[in-house]
Amino acid sequence: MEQMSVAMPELLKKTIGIAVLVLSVGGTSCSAFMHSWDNDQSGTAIELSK
Amino acid sequence: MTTRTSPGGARRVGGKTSKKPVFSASRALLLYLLPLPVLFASLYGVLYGNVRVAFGAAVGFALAMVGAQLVRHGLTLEVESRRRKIVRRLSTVPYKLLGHGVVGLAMAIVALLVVKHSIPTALIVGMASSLGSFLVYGLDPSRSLPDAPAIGVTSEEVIEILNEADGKIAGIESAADQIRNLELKQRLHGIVGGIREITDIVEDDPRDLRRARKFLKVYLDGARRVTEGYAATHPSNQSGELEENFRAVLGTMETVIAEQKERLLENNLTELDVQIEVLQTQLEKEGV
Repeated sequence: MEQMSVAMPELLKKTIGIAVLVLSVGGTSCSAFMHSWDNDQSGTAIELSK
Repeated sequence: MTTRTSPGGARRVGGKTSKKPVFSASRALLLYLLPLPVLFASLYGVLYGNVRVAFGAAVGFALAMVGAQLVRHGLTLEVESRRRKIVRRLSTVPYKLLGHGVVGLAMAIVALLVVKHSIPTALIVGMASSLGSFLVYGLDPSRSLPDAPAIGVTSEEVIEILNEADGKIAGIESAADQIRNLELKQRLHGIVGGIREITDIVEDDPRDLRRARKFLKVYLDGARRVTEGYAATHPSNQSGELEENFRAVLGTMETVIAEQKERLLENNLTELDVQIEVLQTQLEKEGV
């Protein structure tokens, strides 16, 4: 029981950390990928319209 | 968990190997996996001639990998330092802290150049990334752990010698497994047990390294070479003379190990005796 009460904050910290890490690093990375893809698509669209 | 500092200064944790859970080095995997889309973004940038995206994503990805590598190295050092009873006086370079910072910088660059966020938003993204990395992987353990200058060895040196000895013990063990003769095999396993007891004594009290250094460095090396050599020739060479010689060597090994153990334990008793004497004198002087 005592061990659990010591482990809980640590577990909570890690869980929040993973969430923040996934949202910030993963989110930015995916966003970067989508942006590079979007730019490419819009570029192609412009090319086609010409 | 109690923490004791030996008179020499090398710190021992609770008399046992620390059981505090730590993230193993492989867990830094998240830091390697999450930025992967940035690599593809960079490839897209190169393919379609978008210099800003290609450059921003390439720099961001490279920095993210550097950050992940730094955190991983910090984790490796931490795991290694907790493996033994003696705590390694850790590296002066705060690898994990640097890693968190570099990961944040990488994501800020990606957010600014590739995602085209504003500078304040990119800074927030960077800080959030560093914070996430810090929360998951933590900071480098304290660097103020004491050293063991009074006994003439540092805790690093003790750990280095013990690690080396572990490697030699493993060598003797694997060579023993190759030997078919059951009697010799059993004697070798007994020898390995004796050597482990000696390394345990040294690990418990690093001051004993002064007396066991030659044994751990020179003698153990010779024992491993002889055992490995015998194990390598044993299947092909069944000559009785070689076996007799090896038996004699094993006898010497057993004697030396027993003597070494006795010497170390005697030394502890002598020290205890001296400590009791000092305490007695002190009590008599101070009239307690």
